[in-house]
Amino acid sequence: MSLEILKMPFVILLSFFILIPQSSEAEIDTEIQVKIKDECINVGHSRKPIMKELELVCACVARSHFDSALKEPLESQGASDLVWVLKYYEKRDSKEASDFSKTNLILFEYDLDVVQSCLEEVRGK
Amino acid sequence: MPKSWIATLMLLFNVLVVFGAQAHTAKTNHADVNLWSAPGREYSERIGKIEKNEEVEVLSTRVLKSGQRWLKIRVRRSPGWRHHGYTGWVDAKFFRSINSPSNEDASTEAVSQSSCVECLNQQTPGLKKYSSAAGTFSQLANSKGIQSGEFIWPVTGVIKSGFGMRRHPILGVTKLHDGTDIAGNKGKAVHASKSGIIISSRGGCQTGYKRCNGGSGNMLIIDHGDGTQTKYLHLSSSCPITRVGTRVDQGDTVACVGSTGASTGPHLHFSVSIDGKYINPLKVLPRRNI
Repeated sequence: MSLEILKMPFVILLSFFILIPQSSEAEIDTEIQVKIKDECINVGHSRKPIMKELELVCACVARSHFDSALKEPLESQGASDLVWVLKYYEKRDSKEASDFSKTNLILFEYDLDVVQSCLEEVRGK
Repeated sequence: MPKSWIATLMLLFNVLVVFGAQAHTAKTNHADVNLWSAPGREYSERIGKIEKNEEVEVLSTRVLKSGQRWLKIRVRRSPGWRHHGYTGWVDAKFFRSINSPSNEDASTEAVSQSSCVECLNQQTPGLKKYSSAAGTFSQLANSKGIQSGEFIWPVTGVIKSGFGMRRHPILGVTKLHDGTDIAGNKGKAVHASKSGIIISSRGGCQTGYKRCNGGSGNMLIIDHGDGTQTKYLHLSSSCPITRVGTRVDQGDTVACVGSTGASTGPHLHFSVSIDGKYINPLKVLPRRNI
């Protein structure tokens, strides 16, 4: 019995070392926030009329998606969400963006909420 | 057997035949077909099963965008089948009509067309694009006898986003927003907008997990028994969510405001549907000053 109790800290320590490498397997690319912001600004400049607060809104959109990805229970899920958002903002054509939006309706609707919140934040509502 | 008895029995038989023929009924040859809380499976929950060769009453039909046909049915299994809990939706492909009114095709088509706002935009050239939801509501509500004020606000707060087409201000992509987003502090009580029975209740979502319950987060659907349903999304995980099958009165607290699922902050997504078609909640909610 006493031997079993002595083994416990070793088991806990061992499981700790097993779990740590697994949780760091999927990584969120920290650069992707800047890439989303840049693509958002680029696509915004390709549309007329150009939104006055475009750069501020795009910075907010990129930041919001990045923060949200960090909150996902699985880091790999957060990372793939950010890749999807980046691809979405890379679309220069509305039809192309509309077609792509259908590949992930949850993120698409979430992005609509994000942009709306950002516009309100930037415009000080 | 006296002649009067035979005459009475024959009369009774005729009455049964005539009344039976008025109801549109259907049967399935499949074993254990699922009964769902809503057409399609996006927001619906399995609420029961239809047994093989069980006769059900068809209340309405809905054709989804995918082309799938769903039937709103009433199960006649027990003496208490008129209870709200025995109505639900089934995939039409599992059923065959065994007793339908002569104008079945025409009525089905009419319901099918009116069940989709976007379809109405396409099929009715005279209607202004994106305004058909509000335009067709009064017709639909009047046919249902629904008056403004029958529903109450489920929560007080500023409207963050209204019902209708939303356009992405940068990318230009549009999407129908099927409800009204009402801002509210996390934990604020959500009240039943109208009396009814909970036909779908999903919990287990924590804030941050966007995909939980298909983005809806913790959610509730109340069937009001008259063809109308109300839906409450993104509910908090820190308050109890009323269970399926519970009968609620108007104003009862059923859950709390949260930010679960695909949500950027605490708010309530509140939807109202009539016969499966979403309508602008502001058309049935009383006017208020916030």
